[in-house]
Amino acid sequence: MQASKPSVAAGGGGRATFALHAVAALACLCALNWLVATKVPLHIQMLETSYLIFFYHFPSAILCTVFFTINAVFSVFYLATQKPSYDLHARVFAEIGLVACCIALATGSVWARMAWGEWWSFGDPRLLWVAIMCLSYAAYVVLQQFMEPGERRMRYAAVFAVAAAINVPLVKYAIQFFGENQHPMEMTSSDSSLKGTQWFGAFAFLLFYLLVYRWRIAKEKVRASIESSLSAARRIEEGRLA
Amino acid sequence: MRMLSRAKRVVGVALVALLACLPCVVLAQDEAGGDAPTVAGTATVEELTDFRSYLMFGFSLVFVLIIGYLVVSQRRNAALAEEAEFLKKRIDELGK
Repeated sequence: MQASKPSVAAGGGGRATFALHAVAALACLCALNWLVATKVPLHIQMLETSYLIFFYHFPSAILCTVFFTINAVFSVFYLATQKPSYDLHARVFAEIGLVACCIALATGSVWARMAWGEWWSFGDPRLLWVAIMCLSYAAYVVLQQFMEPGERRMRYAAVFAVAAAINVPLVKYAIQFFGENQHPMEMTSSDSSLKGTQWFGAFAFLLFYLLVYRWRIAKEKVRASIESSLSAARRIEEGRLA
Repeated sequence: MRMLSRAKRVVGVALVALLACLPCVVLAQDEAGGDAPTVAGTATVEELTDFRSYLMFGFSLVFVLIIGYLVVSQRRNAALAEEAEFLKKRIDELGK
């Protein structure tokens, strides 16, 4: 019997929404660039034009903590229910959170060089906690990538993620807990365009990271589907040989 | 081979990140007092606005490249998903 041909429509709706999502993310990011290039003041307080990098630093910094928190929530769900799909979502959120964290660190470092005259300040509590958080989640991703797939890996990763999530409130409240050293609590300016651009940037980057998230989930699902087909083929082969 | 493929991906992501940081580095060099205009130096507002336009263009280009890659890759994912679905059906039929 001839197997039915795969339907062309399979995933068609998903493809259309993905394309729309991509267009929206690109439009928002380009709009952010335009706002930074034309609307915000050239310099504020004592900061010169180098502060413009803030509009790329802030969204990634805020979103990485959001993604790590979601990772912890999915990990708790996994521990409670043992459903592999929760592990997959936790893993992907940790990956995009790690990318966001690296971007925040890189842009922050360039900015620090201009504002403070040094690439990194070991005496600053927030910087230190962000670096610790970044390394924790890098370890989580390595654990997920290099342990043998299976229930054991998912359980270990979930426990690790819950433990690593302690870093998130420490980063958020580092300045309140340990005092302000160099990293400011927040940027202040009388110019209203600054706050608007800052939060619009967060929205634009959120769209972008969610696009990456959808892409990673789709990729993992395809891989799982191929692996399941291969294991079915192996079972048939073994049955024939027996 | 899987390790190599992962390493290639990591290098790719690092290159894109470097590309994304390039305008910032250029900006930082300007601030440090290079040949390009600086606020503290002799730059006029027009020159700075021009510079910000280049910055905008650079970042937009990076975003276009990354999102374009995601869209193309997602199309490939969808095609692979269809193939996998077809393969699974065939295998199930052969197993009966």
